[in-house]
Amino acid sequence: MPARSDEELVAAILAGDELLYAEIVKRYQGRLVNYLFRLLRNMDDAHDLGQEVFLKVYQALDRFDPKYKFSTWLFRVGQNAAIDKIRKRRLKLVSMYRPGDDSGGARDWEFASHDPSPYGDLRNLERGKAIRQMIADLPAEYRELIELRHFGDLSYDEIAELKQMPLGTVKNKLFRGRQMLKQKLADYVGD
Amino acid sequence: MASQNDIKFLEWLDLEADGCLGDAERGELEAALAADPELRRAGQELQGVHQALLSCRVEVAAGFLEGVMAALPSAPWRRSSRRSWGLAAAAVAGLTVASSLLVGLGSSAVGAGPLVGVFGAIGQMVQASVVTGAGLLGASWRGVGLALEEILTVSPATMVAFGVVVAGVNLLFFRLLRRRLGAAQLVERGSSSNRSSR
Repeated sequence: MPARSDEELVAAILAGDELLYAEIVKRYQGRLVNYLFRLLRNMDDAHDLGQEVFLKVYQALDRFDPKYKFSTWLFRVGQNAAIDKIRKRRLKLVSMYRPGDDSGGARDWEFASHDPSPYGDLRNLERGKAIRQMIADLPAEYRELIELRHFGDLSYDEIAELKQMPLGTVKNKLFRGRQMLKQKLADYVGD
Repeated sequence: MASQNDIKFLEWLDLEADGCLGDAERGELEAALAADPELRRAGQELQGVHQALLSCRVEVAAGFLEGVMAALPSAPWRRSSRRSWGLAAAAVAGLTVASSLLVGLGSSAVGAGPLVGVFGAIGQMVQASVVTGAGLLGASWRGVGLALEEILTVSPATMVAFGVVVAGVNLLFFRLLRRRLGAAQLVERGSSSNRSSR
């Protein structure tokens, strides 16, 4: 049987099959958490906010307009929630920044290491940190789209809908963003 | 400087690495790749960018899904709409009963005790305010009607403008209604496919 679309799942949940929401969470948890992690730069915050976003969306499910894509709606809610969180962080007078925070907090990511030695792990971590910094250094208009495409796994159409941009602009900005990253990566490897 | 053709192929390489290139373009790109070592190198570098981005992905912590499902309230949309309707109905019923009681007391208060007399007076007050309110409402509508008549008889242009406003409001209602209907149809379609899958 073909998998049901998000919109059909939402309709079924609204009709009373509430446990089907697990299907939606399964479909989007990786993409949403990765996207939030890119915005918040902290794994614990990304997980906490991810759960909050799923809860918020569930509570407002009856207000979902099937004219739009569910994914776009979910990521818009996620994006707004992350912006609020970042704003609140900035409002706090005491800096939340801790050395090492940028590497993802307590649960830092790990690359698949081809070198079992501690040096290999260290190299991978350093490389990962460098790549994240390269993404962070991109101009906002390109970075945003790179994050939505590569961490949120949104299609070009979904990004166009979310950002209210023509499809051609999305393709162009992603192309330019990747070209910039390519250059930065080449510089990094060359150093 | 890169030619238009080079840029086109670079853009296609980018789309291909993203799995978004059409079949027709892919054939042309493959031919160009076979002929141009520089393009092949650019393609490899682009693959490197994609792999680098992929390596930055993180795993979702175990228990994430369970955490979300455990925190879900039971159909909040259904409960809230039922609750709001229930509250409104209860408020209307309460007000009706209270007003009827007070008005009833007011009419039977003559010769009764002081407490009944007090409630009777309040009842008469409610009755009087209802009558006054109704009168004011009637007068206001009559006033609105007169004002409209005055506006419409000034010139044909004002009548046309009024017609446009009325048509606009109707269109707005129609659009709102259609959106509601669309959502309802989707719910119906979803629930029927849900039933058939069981």
